Amino acid sequence: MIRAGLLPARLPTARTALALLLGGTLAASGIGLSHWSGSEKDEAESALARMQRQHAQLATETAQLRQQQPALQAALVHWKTLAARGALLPPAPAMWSSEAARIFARHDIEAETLRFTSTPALERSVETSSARILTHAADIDVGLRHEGRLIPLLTALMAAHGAVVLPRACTLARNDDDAVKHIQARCRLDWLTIATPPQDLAR
Amino acid sequence: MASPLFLLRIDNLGLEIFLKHKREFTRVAVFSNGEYGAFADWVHGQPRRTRFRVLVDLADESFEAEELPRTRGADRRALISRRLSSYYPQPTYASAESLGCDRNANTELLLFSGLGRPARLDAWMAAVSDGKLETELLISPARLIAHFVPGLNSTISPPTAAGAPLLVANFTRAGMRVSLIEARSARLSRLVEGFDAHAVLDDDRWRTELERTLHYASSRQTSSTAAAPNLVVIAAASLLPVPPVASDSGCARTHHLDPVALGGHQAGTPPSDSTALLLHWLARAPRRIGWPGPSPSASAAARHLHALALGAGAIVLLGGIAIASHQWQAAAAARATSSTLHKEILGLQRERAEFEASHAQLDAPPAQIIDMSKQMERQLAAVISPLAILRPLADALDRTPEFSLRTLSWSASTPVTTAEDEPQLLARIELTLRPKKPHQADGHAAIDALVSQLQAGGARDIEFSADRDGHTRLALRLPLIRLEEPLQ
Repeated sequence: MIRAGLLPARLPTARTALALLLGGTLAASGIGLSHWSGSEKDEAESALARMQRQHAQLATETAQLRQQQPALQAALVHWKTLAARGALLPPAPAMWSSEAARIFARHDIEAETLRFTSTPALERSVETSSARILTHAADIDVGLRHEGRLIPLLTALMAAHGAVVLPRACTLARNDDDAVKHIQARCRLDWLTIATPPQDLAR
Repeated sequence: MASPLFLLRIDNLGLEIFLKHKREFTRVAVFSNGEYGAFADWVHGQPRRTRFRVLVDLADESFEAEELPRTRGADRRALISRRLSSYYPQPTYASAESLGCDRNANTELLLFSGLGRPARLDAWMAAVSDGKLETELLISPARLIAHFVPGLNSTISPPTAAGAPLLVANFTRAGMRVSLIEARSARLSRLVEGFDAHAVLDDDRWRTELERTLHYASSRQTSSTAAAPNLVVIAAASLLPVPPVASDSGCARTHHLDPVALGGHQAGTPPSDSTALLLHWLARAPRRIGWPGPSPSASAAARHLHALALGAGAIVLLGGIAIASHQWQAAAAARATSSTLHKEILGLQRERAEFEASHAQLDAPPAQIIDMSKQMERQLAAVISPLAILRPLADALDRTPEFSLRTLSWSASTPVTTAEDEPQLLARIELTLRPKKPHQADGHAAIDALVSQLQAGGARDIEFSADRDGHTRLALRLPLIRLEEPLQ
C-alpha cells in the first residue's frame, strides 16, 4: 500500500507555538544553568589556582626561612663577636697605626709607622648591595731580643680593636750573635673589616 | 486506562458513531448530512485522548490502473504523488498499490484508488481535525473487504479456491456495494445507492449490477486475470428466496457469508445488513491499509511536535541541571580547598612576618650575615699560629745540636683536600741552618736525623740543599692544627 506522503495540512497553532516556547524555555533554562554553573566553577577554580600559587610561593619562602634559621643563629654569634671586635666599623688605618705603635711601645720594640695597602674585596662579594670583607695589609719589620718575643707581639696585634688582625706570613732571621736584638722579624698582617651595605640597598 | 475508541461510519445519509463493547456495537450518535456543526460540538466534548476509526461508505471511490516507468526511492514517491494528485482532488483520501512489474518493459503496474469527490467526507473530517483528535484509521469498505474476506476461506460456504478473484456483494443502509477482490486488494468497488437489501434480494436487479461491475472492471483493465470470479454474497443464503445462480451474473460459483455470525447484529437493521461486520473489521483493521487522511497527520504531527519540543526542552533542562549540579559540586570543592589554603596562607604569612620582623633588626640581610660569617671563618682558619710553627721546629732543632737556626720563614700553603674532603691547612716553611762546627764530618747524618724528626712531627715534601757557605736550606710543608674558636 502506497500512501501519498504529504505534509501536515495545518500550520502550527497557538498551542504548538506555546509548546515550542515552553520547550525552548526549558532548553534555555538548562543551557543557562549549565553556563552559569560553568562560570561559577571556572571562577572558583581560577581563585583556587591563584590561592595554590600564593600558597606554594609562601610555603617555599617560609621553608627557606626556617631552614636558614639554625645557620643564622650560629652566624649571629660570630657576627656579634665581630661587632664586639669593631670589625663592622669602617676601615681606620690611621687609628690602627696608632694602636700598633702603642703595642710596639708597650713591648719595647722600635718600629716604623705602619703603612696599609688595601686589597680588593675578598671572595666574590663585590656588589655594593652585599656585605663584603675589606682587607688592609701591613708589613712589620722589627728587631727582637729573642724569638720568643714574637708571639706576644703578634697576639697583642691580633687583639687590637677595630678589625680582625690576621698574621699571614713571617720571616725570622738571626743577626750576628753580638747584636742586642739578634732576631729580625718581618711579618705580614691583614686587617679585615666587614662593609655592610646601606639598609635600603640590602633589603 | 485505554483511551476510548469511536467507530465512525460516513455514508450518503450522514454520519453514525458507534462505541464497541466486547462484540456489541452501540450507536451513540447520528448526524444527518449538513449537521457538521453539531458533529463538531460533539467532537469538542470528547476527551483529548479519544481515538477515531472512520469507515467511508460513499459512492465516489474510483479505481485507476496505470503502467508507469519503474523507478525507486524518492523518484518513485514523487511520481506516485503526482499521479495521485492528478487523479484525485485530495490525495489524502487516496492511495496506490503495486500490481507487479514488467522487467522486460521496465514498467510497473499501479492501481490508484481514492475518493473522486471528497467534499462530503472532508466536511466531516474537518470537525475531527479542528477538535485536534486523532483519526487513527480512515478506510473504505472495499479495502476492509479486500483485507478480511480472503482470510475467511474456511467459513465461506462452499469454500473458494485460494487466490481466485472474488466479486463480493454486501448491503448496508447506503445501498449495495459490489467489490472485485484480487490478491487481497480491491480492484473495483461500486456502491449502488438506494438498494434496500430485503427488497432487492427478492428480485434479480442486484444481479444486473454484478454484471455491470464486471463489465466496468473489464473495460478499465483493473483486473489482471481473465478468469471468472467467484461470487461472495455477504448475506445468509437462507435470506434469499431463490439461490442465485452464479453463471447468470458471469461468476463461476456463488458463496455466502453470514454477517450476523461473523460480526454480530446491529440493532434496527435487517439480517442481511453488513454494517456490524464492517464495524467489526474496522475495529480490527491495521492502520497501514487506510488512507492517509488529513486529520491524523496534522493532529499527530502537532502532538509529536509538542511532545518533541517539550521532551527535548525537558531533556536539555535535566542535562543542564545534571551538569550544573556536577559543576556546582566542583565549585564548592574548589571553594572549600581555597578556604583551607587561605587559612594556611594566613598562618604562613604570620610566620613570615615574624621572621621578617626579627630580620629587620639585623645589620644586614640574614643570607649576607651567614655568608660573611662563613667567609670570615675561612679567613681565620687560614691563619698560621706562630706557636704551631715554632714548637715542632724547636723540638726538632733541640735534638739536632749540630746546627743552629739562621732564618725561618713561614706562610700559608695551598690547602690540600684529604680523603675526608676536609681541606687541610699547610704551612710552607723555609729555614736555613748553619753547622756549629765547620766541615763537620757527620753533617749529613745530622741532617737526616733532623728530617726524620720533622717527618715524625708531620712534615711533608721536605727538600734540602746546601750552599757554598756551608748553610743548609730546608723547605717543607707542615700541617697545622686549626685554631679553636678563633673569634673568641
